[in-house]
Amino acid sequence: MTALLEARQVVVRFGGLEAVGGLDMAVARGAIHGLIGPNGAGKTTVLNVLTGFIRPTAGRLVFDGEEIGGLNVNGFARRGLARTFQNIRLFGAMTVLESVLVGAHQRFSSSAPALIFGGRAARAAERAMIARAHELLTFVGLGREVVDRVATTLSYGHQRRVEIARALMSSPKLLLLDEPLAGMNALEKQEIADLVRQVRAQGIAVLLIEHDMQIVRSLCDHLTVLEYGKRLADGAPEKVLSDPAVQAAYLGRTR
Amino acid sequence: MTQTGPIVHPTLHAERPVEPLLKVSGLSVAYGRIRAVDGVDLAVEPGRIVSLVGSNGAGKTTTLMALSGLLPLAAGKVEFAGEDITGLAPELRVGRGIAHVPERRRVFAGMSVRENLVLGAYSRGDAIEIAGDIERLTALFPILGKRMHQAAGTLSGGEQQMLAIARGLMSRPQLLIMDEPTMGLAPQMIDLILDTVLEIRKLGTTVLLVEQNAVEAIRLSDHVYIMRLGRIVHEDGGANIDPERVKAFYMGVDA
Amino acid sequence: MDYFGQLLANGLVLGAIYALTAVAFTLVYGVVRLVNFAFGELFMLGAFLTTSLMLPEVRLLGTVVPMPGFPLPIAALGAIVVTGIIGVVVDRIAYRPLRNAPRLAPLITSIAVSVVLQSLAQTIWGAEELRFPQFYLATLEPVVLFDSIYLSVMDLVVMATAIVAMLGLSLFIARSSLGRAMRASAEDQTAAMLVGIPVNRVVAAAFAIGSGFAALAGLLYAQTYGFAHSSMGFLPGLKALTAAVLGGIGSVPGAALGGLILGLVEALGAGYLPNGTAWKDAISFVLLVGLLYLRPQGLLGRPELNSAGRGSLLGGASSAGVGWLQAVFARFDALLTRGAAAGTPAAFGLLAVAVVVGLMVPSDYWLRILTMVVIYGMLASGLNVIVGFAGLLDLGFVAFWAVGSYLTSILFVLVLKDGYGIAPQEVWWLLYLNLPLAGLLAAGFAVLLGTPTLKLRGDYLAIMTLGFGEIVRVVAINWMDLTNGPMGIRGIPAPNLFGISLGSPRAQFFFALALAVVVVFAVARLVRSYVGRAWVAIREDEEAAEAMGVPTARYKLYAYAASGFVGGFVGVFYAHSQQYISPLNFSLFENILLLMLVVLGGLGTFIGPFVGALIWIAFLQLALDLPFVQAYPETRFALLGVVLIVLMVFRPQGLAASARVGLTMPGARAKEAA
Repeated sequence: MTALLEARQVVVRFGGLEAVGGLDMAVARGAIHGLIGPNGAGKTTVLNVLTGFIRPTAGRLVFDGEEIGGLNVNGFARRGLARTFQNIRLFGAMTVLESVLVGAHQRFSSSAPALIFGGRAARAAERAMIARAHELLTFVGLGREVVDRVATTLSYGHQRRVEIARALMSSPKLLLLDEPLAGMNALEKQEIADLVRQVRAQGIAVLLIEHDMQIVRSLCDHLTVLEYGKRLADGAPEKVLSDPAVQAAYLGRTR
Repeated sequence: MTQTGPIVHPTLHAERPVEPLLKVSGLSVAYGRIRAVDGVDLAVEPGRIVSLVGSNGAGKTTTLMALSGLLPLAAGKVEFAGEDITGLAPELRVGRGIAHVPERRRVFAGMSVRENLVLGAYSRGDAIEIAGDIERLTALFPILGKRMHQAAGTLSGGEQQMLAIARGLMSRPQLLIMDEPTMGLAPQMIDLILDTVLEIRKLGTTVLLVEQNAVEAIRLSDHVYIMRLGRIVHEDGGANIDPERVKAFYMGVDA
Repeated sequence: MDYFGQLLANGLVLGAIYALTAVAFTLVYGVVRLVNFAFGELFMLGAFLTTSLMLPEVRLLGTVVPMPGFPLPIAALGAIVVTGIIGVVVDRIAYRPLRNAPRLAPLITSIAVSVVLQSLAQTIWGAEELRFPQFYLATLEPVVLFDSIYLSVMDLVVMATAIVAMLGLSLFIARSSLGRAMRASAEDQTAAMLVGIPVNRVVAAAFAIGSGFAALAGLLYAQTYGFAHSSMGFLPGLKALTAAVLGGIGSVPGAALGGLILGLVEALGAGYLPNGTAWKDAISFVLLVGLLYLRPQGLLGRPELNSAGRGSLLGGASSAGVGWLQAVFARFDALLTRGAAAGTPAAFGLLAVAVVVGLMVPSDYWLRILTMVVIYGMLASGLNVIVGFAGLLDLGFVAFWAVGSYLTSILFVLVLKDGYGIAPQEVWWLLYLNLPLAGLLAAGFAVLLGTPTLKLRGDYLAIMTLGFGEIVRVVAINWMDLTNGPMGIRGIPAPNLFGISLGSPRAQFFFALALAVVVVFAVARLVRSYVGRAWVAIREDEEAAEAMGVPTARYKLYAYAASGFVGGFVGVFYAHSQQYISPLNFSLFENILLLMLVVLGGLGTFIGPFVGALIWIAFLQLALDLPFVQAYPETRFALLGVVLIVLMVFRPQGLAASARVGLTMPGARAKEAA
């Protein structure tokens, strides 16, 4: 079976600086794939390439059998790649329900007159998506009481869940999470990890950047390790994490 | 009067415990509702290299930014050379003798190397000695001497790091705070920068170092603090720290 | 050759003045990333102060005050120093508290500062021109070059002064310690603080120097054209901003180059284009718009400056202020929150109140005022779609309003009545056709103007839309055949229904109210759907919205279209209600006023625009009873500006911000309770 997402020989240059140098990686269908590496290795750059935020200088991106390299960001989202951000980026001044509904944007199609004059189809679509939003909020572990709160006033952990629900609203094939566990305590980390497993159980593949190796070890099926924008190692977590080169990348070489 | 610390001066290596140069008690920093740093106590004795290690997101950089006044404290106290500097504006801390070499170097890219160095001495009033200090620093970093009139943005990453350190030293600090000086650098350059840290201490400047490269940081430090989730979880003399224990923190194995 | 040479010389003088003012914009923008619209007014203050100091006596606030009668250099120096101080004070009071606020806040504040300074100047020096006094240098024979180019000695002095000032500034920035600190702060404020640079003081220095340059330019302008006037800074200010953008905002050599190019293009355009003098203002703005479209970073600028940063006005609102004020707001907010939660019933309640007021108010005078409240409220609602919901600062909205007003006026008066001799009452129904027609035309126009702005954000977007607005105004003035030019169009018929005139103030009020219901209803329906959610998402975080699958470019255009539709729609009624329109009705000032009303009332709410309009127009009328305002009507605008600045600092989200708008369809959630 072919990979869900494949990056081939991806190069990203900022001015003269090569941030990503000829990266090959493949995310399998239904996998939880970890992207790890020391600070400054280019992980977020890679994630930005895979979600269309950065157009690579060279290389190809194939998603679900389709070349997607030339699309703009909303095109990536429409093809089924949904993401969260390293520093949670919820829409200020929007309630939890409204924020999550933005994730379903592509599922709406009513025309302006239909919206203004209250078309039946427009109302039905809205109702269906609100129901789906409620479902997903329950799925990510948020209760009814937060639905009408302004999302940015929630606790950090809850905001992260809202962000995941918003991403899931687009019914993605691949969910990309940029450091979803950052800034959380051990218990919260476990909860989010469990949530990630449940997402996978729905048949959605997950690509995540994470630094907590304990979690990475138990959560991921497959790891890609980056160093200096290049692939240092790739494979099953146990194998990759015991690789001396990977350990050296993290802890430094002893002279 | 603005001469706060000798730049070229053989150190008196402190054998017995002395009054700490920097004393931090109960330091907490919050981003909105999230406590990124929670009750950190630190003491940096004069003439020493003290490092703060821990995996990404542990709160190291946040701690340093709070120390230089770039972030407001939610709680806690910062004392430097016996004086309470908790509420002091960041630009005034330089004059007291604290220089901060920030994460990702942040040299003034559009300005020449020389201008960057001159700006480093902004808090000093002694125009004549500045030229002398620049000369001494080019002895420490010969490559900067060759690039004196080049725009800082055109330097390589390692050269920019050296410039950032040199710029920090231009204020003749008693304490040099360095945040991830080896991030994203090639291995030989990492060795060079870390050697420089020892050199700086020899010249009589106390160093507080944040470094992801834990093995090296532990090797060259007199004292090490290990941070995790915004708290200090372990501290000891550099020689007493078992790298395996740190590995456990980093690689997620229970040791 | 001689004609060309003379134009060249004029262009150089003008270019020197633009360049000096452009430096002010560029210097401050470089250090704090703020487009300080108020530099045009500091330019004007420089002119007034110099002129006053040179005269033996000046009429200030209507009283003759003895003046020292200094020679030009001393008067100029005094004016520059005083203006520099004013610049620093303005920064300290109005901008510094907003340093970490969302980008729109300081931009709007700077517009308010402009309004305050301009109205104050008009109050102090009066509405008349103050003639620039004769002095020795100006009486010298002109220098003749190549037998045919006449340059007065003062022209040469202007050019020489500009060159010396620019070189001096460049040297200062390159060599001095403060100059170095300025460049460092411009590059990276955090790193600057870490090396010990007191950034606030550096910013103050940039304001002082920039204001001094603006004052210098202003006094040279006053000298060249022989007068000082309270509105004299407006156009040169905009053009200097154009010059700064042209050269690449943030770059001092760029400002010099931009000023020079603009001065030359304007002088040569005025000289060679057919009817060039009339169109010369349009030339600058066409240049501006074209440039922002093709190369927004300008000739010498760096591309990264066109960033809006994240967060809208509503996000990160400060809640600073004195205790009792906060308490008052808290109570007010609670009331509004409850009202907004009630939604439709609350709207019907407000409508009922409006109807009762319309029936009860006895005086025609107050009915007319209330009609204006409703018209301005509707227009502000239209502007609110683009600024408040989609978060795009549009300074060209009046153009859409103008499209609607002109469409109906041209059809009724110039075509049907003057062209075919058809009396308006015979075609009364055309008005009702024109309402949606003008809406569509203006919407199409808005999309046309919106398309090139899609790449732009924040300040640049504001500047480009401002350019569009000005172009439309210049066209309205100069395209005589179409618009009747500055004379305007008279005799627009009052609204009429089945031959019954609705010209009475009470009928007009209810007509306006009915339209307001349509406007608010349509806007509310759009906002409370996926369209509104997409707009607000773009406003709050464009990138994140795009990542959620929102085609942000298309939805920005929808916002322009909706906003334009409302503008055109209301414009039709406005023309029929006023029965006379001229290009003066659609100036940038009107746009700024509308913007102030929306901000005052609360961006991104349905009630806010009407609250703003009500407060403003009631304030205008009530203030007329104050003896001081009776004597100096201009102070009303100054007061509005002050209110807005205070609001920006203490309550940037606007008065009615708590009347939060729900973004889901009202009916769609009814069932979930069950």
